[in-house]
Amino acid sequence: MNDQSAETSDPNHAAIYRWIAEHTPEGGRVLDIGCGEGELLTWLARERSIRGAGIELSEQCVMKAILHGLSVHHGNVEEGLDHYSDKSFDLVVISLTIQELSDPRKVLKEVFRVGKRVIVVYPNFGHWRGRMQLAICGRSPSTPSLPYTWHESPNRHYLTIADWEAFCQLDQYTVLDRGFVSNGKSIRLFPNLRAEIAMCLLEHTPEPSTGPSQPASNNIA
Amino acid sequence: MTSSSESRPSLGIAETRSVELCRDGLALDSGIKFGPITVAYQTYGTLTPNRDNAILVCHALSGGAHAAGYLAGQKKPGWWDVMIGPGKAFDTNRYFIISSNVLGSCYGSTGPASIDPASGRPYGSHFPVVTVRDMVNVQRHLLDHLQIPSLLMATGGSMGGMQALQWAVSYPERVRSVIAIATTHRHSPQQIAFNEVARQAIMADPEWKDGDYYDGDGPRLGLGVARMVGHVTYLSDAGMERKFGRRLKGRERYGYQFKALDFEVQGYLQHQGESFVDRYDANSLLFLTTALDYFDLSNGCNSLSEAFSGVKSIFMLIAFSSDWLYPPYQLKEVAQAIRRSGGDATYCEINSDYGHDAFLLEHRQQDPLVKSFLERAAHETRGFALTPGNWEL
Repeated sequence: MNDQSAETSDPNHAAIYRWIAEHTPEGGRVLDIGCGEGELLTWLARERSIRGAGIELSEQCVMKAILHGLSVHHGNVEEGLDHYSDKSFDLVVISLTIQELSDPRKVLKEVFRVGKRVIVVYPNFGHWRGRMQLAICGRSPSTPSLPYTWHESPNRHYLTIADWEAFCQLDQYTVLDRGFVSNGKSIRLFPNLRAEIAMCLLEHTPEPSTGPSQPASNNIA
Repeated sequence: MTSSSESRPSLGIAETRSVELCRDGLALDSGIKFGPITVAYQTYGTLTPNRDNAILVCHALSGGAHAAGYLAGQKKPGWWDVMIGPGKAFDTNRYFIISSNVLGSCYGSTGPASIDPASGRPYGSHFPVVTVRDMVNVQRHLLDHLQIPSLLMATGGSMGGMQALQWAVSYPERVRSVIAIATTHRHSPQQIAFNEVARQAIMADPEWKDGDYYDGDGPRLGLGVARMVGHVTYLSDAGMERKFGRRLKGRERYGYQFKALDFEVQGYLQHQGESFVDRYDANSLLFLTTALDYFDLSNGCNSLSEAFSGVKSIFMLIAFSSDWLYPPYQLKEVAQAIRRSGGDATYCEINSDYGHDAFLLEHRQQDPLVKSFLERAAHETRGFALTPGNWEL
């Protein structure tokens, strides 16, 4: 699903991989949704000795992932997730894919059924460059993390970091950690304005609670 | 990618060997004890001193032990010669490959045309109904005879894929990996229906004589029609369009006669039917299609994933987009059952318009997949536990 060639030339690529590896349990079982050619799973196998599995829609990518020695399901995400029983993965990674899914909310529910923890990596539509393009030039944003024109974009959803945080609160996903990057560098202040890519580690806390269940995220502009 | 395998060397002359097994009788699924059973088989490549590089290649409905290379004096290579040989997907420089003719067939292993030692005449109507599991049990005896403790892989397409899956379920301690191609975990009503048409064509032929026809010509017409039905299901709409279109055969205009054989596709089917009659036994087709129809891995279990619980192999399942005889959804169900039971399955669907026949033809697509999966199987299943006593030498 995610375009591997675009990813490797992306300055944020290495930062994203490092962040994911840091949050991956050593020797764990990891599912990569939209695994492409299996680059991330291969990297995690090397860095964290994981046992990986992937789901991928493109036949060409599936072939290459198999050549990388990976266990893959060729098909769409909903179907692939349905194949696994509850909590069969320590971690499920959805890297730069969530914006392409037709029903991300439904998929996330399924992802939390099969996985104990989830990492979501998504392009931030709230980045200042995009805001400028829309506000001043009146054009749809085309940024390094969202490089497509409106007619060729595989993306169905355009979300900002603030949107995502609100969504997590709505569906009771606890954000255990967040990371933001731009131009290969980590961002701390005003990520919704400055980050091209956002990453978060999630856990599902279904118990009904009064008040916000997660640490307040002060710096989200 | 690999270069064309036609330009790569074949493994040369293949030799069929034969062994008599199950002298005390094999307990068949039907409850009958049956034996002795002769098994015709071929092997290619060399077994390692650790005996850990054996691959069992299982043939489809009309295949035999001759999977690769050439039989002395014959021009036609084995049915999977594109995949088996030096440097090919199943590399005979690295692996020891075993191919045996299934129980009930007519290419050297015991089948309905074999002589019944009790009567001195062909079994014919006295041959017992056999199942895919019975075939696999016979192969297990062959492995014992060859003193092979466990298989690096069991593989095959169509009926061969069913045997490979059955191997993993029946003998989890003896199969490290499985590649099942263009196949299913159970025959669907549509698959049973096509087989029934084929069987009725044979049984409606007066020469069939309830299966005891070996002193005569046999049901040649019925068998020809049965094969024609089969061939329709092996192709696809798009493949037939490409191969034949509406082209006429040896004429410019329609003949407006029933026997005119106007269309190329008619000529193709008739040729397939006629040539099959000379090389196949009608009773074998009846018995083997029956075995296919009885095939259901979940038989006796509450679910398919229960059937796969306890299975230790890793799996690669390959389906073809235009295969309407064994549609991709069936292998997806297998993938799901394996994963739900905690096992490891890779599923991929190759885009092809060859229909079911693709498993024999699309070797350029399958080659790299098979090669890398074999590497993975050899690496990941190295510590494969052998349970002593599960097999005897």
